[in-house]
Amino acid sequence: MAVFTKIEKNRYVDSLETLSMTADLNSQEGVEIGFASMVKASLKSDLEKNGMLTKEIANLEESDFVIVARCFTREAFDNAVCEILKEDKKQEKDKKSIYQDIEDAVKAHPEANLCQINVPGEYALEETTKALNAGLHCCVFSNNVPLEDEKKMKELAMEKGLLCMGPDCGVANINGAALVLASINNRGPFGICGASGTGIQHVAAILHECGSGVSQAIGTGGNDLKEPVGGIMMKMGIDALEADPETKYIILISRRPADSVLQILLKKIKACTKPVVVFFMGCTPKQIEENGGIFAANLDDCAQKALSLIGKTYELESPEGIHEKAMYAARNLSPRQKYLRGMYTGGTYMDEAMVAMQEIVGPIWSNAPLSPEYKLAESYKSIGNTCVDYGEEEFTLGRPHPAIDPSVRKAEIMREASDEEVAVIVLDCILTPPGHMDPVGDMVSEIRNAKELALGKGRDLVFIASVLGTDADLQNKSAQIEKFKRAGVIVCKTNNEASLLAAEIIRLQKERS
Amino acid sequence: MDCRKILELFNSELVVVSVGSPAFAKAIEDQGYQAIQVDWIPPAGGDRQMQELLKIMGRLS
Amino acid sequence: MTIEERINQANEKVMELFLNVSPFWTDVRPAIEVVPGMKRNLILHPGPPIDKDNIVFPLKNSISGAAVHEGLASNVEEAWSKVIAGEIEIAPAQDYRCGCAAAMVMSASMPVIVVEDRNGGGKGFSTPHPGPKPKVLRWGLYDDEVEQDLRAFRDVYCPALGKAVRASGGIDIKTILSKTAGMGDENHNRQPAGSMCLALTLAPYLLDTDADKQVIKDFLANDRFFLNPVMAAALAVIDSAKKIKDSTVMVAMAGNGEDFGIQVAGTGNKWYTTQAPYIDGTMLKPTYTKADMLRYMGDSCVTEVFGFGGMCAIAGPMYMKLTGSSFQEAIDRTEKARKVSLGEHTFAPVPWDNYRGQPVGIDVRKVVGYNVLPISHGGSGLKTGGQAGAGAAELPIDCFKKALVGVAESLGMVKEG
Repeated sequence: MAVFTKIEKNRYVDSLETLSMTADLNSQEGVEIGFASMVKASLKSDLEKNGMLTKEIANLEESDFVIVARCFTREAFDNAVCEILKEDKKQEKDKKSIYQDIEDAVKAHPEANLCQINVPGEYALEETTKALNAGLHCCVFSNNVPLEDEKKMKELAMEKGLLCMGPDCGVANINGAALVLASINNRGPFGICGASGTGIQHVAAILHECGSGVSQAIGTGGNDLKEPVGGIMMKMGIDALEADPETKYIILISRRPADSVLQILLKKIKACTKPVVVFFMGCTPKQIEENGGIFAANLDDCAQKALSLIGKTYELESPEGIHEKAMYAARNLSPRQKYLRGMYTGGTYMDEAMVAMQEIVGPIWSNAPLSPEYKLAESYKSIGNTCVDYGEEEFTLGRPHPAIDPSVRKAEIMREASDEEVAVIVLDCILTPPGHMDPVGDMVSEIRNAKELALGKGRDLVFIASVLGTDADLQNKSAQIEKFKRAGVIVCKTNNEASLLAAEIIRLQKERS
Repeated sequence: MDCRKILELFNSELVVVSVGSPAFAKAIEDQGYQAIQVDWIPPAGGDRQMQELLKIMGRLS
Repeated sequence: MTIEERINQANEKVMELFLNVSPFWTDVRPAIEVVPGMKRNLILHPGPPIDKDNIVFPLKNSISGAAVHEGLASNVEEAWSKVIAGEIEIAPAQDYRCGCAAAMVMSASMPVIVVEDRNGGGKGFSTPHPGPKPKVLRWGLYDDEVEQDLRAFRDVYCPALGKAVRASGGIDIKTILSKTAGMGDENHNRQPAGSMCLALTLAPYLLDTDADKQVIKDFLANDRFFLNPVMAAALAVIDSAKKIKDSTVMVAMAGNGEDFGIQVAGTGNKWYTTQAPYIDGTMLKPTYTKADMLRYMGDSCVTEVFGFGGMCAIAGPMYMKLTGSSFQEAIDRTEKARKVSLGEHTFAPVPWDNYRGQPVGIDVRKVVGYNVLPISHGGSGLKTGGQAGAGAAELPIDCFKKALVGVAESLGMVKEG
């Protein structure tokens, strides 16, 4: 067994490609363990941990690409490399034309009208500027973009009358297409404009499930309603949905806007002729209603309020129903099991969960807590009742979003399960076209192993999950739910319900002791 | 606020230029829309010193 | 004016020179008579400045052989010790408006092709191609036989050529290139059509000036002859381009078997060097391996600076086949050069490439910014002298980054050193 390397200096391969190359590499014959990656600090430390950091690699730079593997023979390595690069080359040949910049692409395709941008944050302004100057509306997924840059690109967009959704816009539905990590939804009379991707996705999915749908869902990105940016995109979105003949009702979703921005938005809401349902986390009913808006207390409520405008409701579990479910789920728990652990891929879902949970069980520890004194010292070390957002920076730096690469969260399931004081583990699961095509299938063996581990130690372990998506999504939503159920996971209709159920179980456990 | 261009987008066939990982372009195509992939690489291969010089000496058109 | 504007303006001037070049082969004369700065004890070599302690054998041999040929020493050992002592000076040919292909060197009495750019006013020089014999100074080989050949070349062959060229009033290089457009010449390592066309053009004057039968026969039979007039044509326009401050256009590129370097118009004769790459392609003999090869060597790639060779590989697809490459790669190579070039020649369009022309004027800002490295064609030399093979090599990014810094320094952007 020896460590072999193939180095390509100055070759750029993006993280999704390296991810699939690495997976391919490790499935090749004769390869014990291998990595295909840009030579970032994280790779160097991974290699060091595995005793694979050669001097050559240590001297490489971030702009270099390397394939390194521990193999039985040189031949095995060469064959493996050949195989995985062959795939890479095949993909290249299949491509119609290769464009390396936006201008070239637009020159060849003047009919293009929207640009989806997913480059590292420090380059986002440059690329978005190019796209806006080429006359394209933009959807910017890049995160870690300086607020100053965001302001500049949105001011340019406003000047040109173009949309600039994002940075950090993970969800948008334009003309029926699910962009970035959105779910596929039916069209309908509701126009959504939101700063929370998961929030938009959640409400849209419920509208779809109830036979209605979305005209357009405009994502503004998480920072739009903060002071420096001033809500530029939310304002443009409201105006556009007001003017759009296909939109009959407007829905606005966000974390609490900055004070000055909120004032401006409330004025805009007042001026709207169409009904506006508003879920701005942390705002009072009075603020919204005295400006003619319809107040929503949470995401589920937001969907309900929207549905009531067309005379429909979304069936949700009653508090009594939740209590009964909780009793039943907790029947085999030992008295020592008194904590819940939430493991989330959607940040907004975690926020919503914590808000619901803390009403019932008190403050929740987190890597992105509701109050700073409950911030975990280490994201990999849970304390008491803890919720972790696996989409946060410390987990995603250099890696794809957990909706696409579920491996980081998956790996932590056993850790949470081994803690003998844990009674409940809560998971979310997001379906989206670029996402994992079988996210539930991907984690069932971890879930089963976790349950077995607990059983072996004489305790039960409750898993609760919710699945965000629609029956129009490419992953089969009902099949995904089935897989959860077959693995012994309790599936709730919404994240909020899952949170209430988990919290109720903990409350019952507390009562017992 | 002049929404003309946005309404134009809403009333047109969506044609997406996708900059970054090809997985996102593929996702658009899987839904039946046209996507044009741009294989973006960082300017100057990611070399910061060169990027700084180029900022002054010439943005690439 | 911003720095960017200054650079763009300077580049425009350089491009005007390149695109309007009017190169005429006007004479063949001893270097000492026509090359500005040439000295009796100066020997010009290919590539960037050479570290005498690290010189590759073929160049050492060429230089020493030329010194003996020149009467500066009585044998090669003495010659080299004089070089070490500094009594015999060596310098990069491209710093003197000259180009030495492969391991060829230029000494004072060697006759050189003179090309004048009647548009820009500059001049370029290169020794004529010696012919198909493998044992030549051009490949770093020197003995009595080579010495005899050099003398015949100097005393009979070249003067006859010179007489004929003068009688013609000057041969328009562009016309030859235009006439042979679409005939498959790659014009760096492969130029049979251009050589034949040139031969037809010059032949009447050779006859009129009563040139020796053998001279005519040798000249007509040399299907690589056209290389050096094109090299000199490139050098002639580069002569003017090097006067344009602030320009980031590449105006020289070459190797000396160890190091590879480029120059940009804005900083004139300043070399930006790095370790030379290897040529990747086919070997002349199946017994040769990479271990026998030297790194990139020669000035013939000044033709690439001019837009030919690998920069427009699509023009010469036969070369691709002969060096183990493909038609698609010819397209890819040309597109790479186009991506980083500022202009295109229009006088010799390539019919099967939609009549597009040769990309010319490589801007180092684009090479660095896009991280696209142009690919140069080239022949490779054996460590022991002689030709190893032919193919292509990707130019090293380091040179371009250093050149960018060099221009930045000249603009006062960064501290020197």
